[in-house]
Amino acid sequence: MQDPELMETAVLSDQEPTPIAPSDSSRMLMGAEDDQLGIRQLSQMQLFWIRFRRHKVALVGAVILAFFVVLAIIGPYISPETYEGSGWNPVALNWAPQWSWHYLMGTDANGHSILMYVLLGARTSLEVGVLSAFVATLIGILVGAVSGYFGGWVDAVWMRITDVFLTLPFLPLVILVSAYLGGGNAYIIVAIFGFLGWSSVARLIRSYYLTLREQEFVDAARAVGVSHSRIMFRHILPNALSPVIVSFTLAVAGFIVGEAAIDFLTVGIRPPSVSWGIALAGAQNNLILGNWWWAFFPGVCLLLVVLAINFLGDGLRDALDVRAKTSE
Amino acid sequence: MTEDGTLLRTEELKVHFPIRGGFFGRVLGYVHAVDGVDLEVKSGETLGLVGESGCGKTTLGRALLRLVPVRSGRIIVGGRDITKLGPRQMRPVRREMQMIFQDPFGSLDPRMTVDKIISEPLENFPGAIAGRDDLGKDGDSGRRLGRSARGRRAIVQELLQTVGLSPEHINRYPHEFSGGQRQRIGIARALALRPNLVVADEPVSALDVSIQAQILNLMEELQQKFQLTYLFIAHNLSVVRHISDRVAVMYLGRIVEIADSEDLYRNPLHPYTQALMSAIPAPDPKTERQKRRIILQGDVPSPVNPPSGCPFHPRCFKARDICSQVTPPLEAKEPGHLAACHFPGPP
Repeated sequence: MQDPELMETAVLSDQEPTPIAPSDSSRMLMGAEDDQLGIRQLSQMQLFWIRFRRHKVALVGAVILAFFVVLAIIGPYISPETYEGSGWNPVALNWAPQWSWHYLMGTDANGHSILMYVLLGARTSLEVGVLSAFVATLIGILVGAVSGYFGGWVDAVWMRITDVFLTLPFLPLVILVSAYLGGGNAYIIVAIFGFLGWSSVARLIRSYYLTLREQEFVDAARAVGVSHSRIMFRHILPNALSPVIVSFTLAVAGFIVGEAAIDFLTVGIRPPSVSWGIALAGAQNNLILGNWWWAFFPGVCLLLVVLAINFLGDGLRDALDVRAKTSE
Repeated sequence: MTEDGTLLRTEELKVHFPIRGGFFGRVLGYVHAVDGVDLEVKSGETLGLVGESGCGKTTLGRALLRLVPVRSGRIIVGGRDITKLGPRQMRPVRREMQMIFQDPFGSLDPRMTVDKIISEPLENFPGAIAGRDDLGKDGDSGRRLGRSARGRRAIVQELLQTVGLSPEHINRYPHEFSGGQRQRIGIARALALRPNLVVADEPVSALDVSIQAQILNLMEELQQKFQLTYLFIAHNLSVVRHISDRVAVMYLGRIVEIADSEDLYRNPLHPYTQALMSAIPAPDPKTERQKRRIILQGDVPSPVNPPSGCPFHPRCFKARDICSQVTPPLEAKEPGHLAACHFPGPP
């Protein structure tokens, strides 16, 4: 420490001298293994952000998604009309007969503003997508955690049930259940999607639990008398959170497409509720007559949202989940 | 603890892992990881447990804490048979027995702060520090301290200091520490409940040699401070000799020899122990050159189909017909020196 230059680096590198007096042998020797040379450790969050930022497409996806989230929130307040609020309109089936907010994207056969479909449909789509993914992920986590953690016959039984749900033909079943329950309501759609769509999440979570339950920190928790449920959800789940976030994101996109599909088949949400799928269903016979705007604007919105979420999901996977990245 | 000072005893303890296969997960066979172990750990001592990789020493350590299912036999802690206790009945026993793990990277939950890791046992057993009124300020009793987050934090900080870490490290995550520091965190967690028995499963084998010595010294200090009993599992014979009062040698799921540390190293009776001892390099090159090394033939047999009779007979240089037919019991060949061999004695 005689060299003044060395002194300076030493002062710079050590933020604060340890206040403990090195009173016994083990503490004396600690300096040797204490490897903090002033290199600030990056937190998990910072590392995540550095990796995510590199994924330019995901950033674009995040911006687009943010735009639609804003639309979904303020849509009902800036919409030119509500579905019930307008009857037959002399400017029906028209493309911008005059420049006004109401006719910005043209009108449908009943004179409803297409802009109204776009603005109100954003809320329906995102609501159904996010809530369905939430329900499906929640059920998937529960099933996957229990079968992966306990293994044995619990695992065998739950995985056979999961297999059954995986092999169910999704769309026909949704149509059937929706017709039986009466459909028409976004929350019924959410319930159907959630209860039919959890199986892939369950499989994913189970595989993580199978690996993580063999880790020594799980044994350590058991040795200090931690309960099974606490180990499952407080110790293992935080370590399996990255794949959960990724699969949740991708599930949102899947369920948005699914919702649009059943609306298109007129077994999903029904007017006076509004969705992009309803607009597309109404437009299908008019597209050939040249009334392109009816299908175009809601269709583009659907495409953009689903693409944005998928890009975001890819970016999240690369930034969060090292395993998925290396296997590609 | 019983009158004769035995803290822990096992009787014919067996841990067999089923090998499943085929369509419905039929049991095709068993890995005989621990295959009839009789062991006594006396209060206050350090019992070393050595053996090569795969001989079942780690499994034995975990079985003692009921972390792996026991197939047969008994585990008796302080005169109480704990082999068949349910999770609820096991709780008070867990307080008495803790474990230090081999892998300082895998044994700490990467998503928990040091504070959470060390205070978790305290949360589970708020009464565990009831007797520790020395910690109480303003008339707080230990029990009340264990119940409040602030009280637990104080105890965690004290524990960190005890194991040679700074109390300021309390809010950090495991990945911010070096291997030796993490092992200190693991030791602090094991000590949080003030256990009597600590099973240390190769606590230093994953560390650099220079840090191994620090951790061993720390463990010896803590043993004196808290009157701990150690079951020290290792494969490094010099480390075990350094820290142990008595040493047990394990081979293929069985204890083949137990004796006082010095006695065992000076006068090994079992041929397997003799082979192990001959493999320790001597620091003096002259003695090293003159030493006769016993080179064992073949590999360790598979624990799925252990050999009949003495498990060591296929590799033993003393083996005769009786060795493949009769399993030698672990019995006293000299006072305080037990060996499981038909022909004990110098090679």
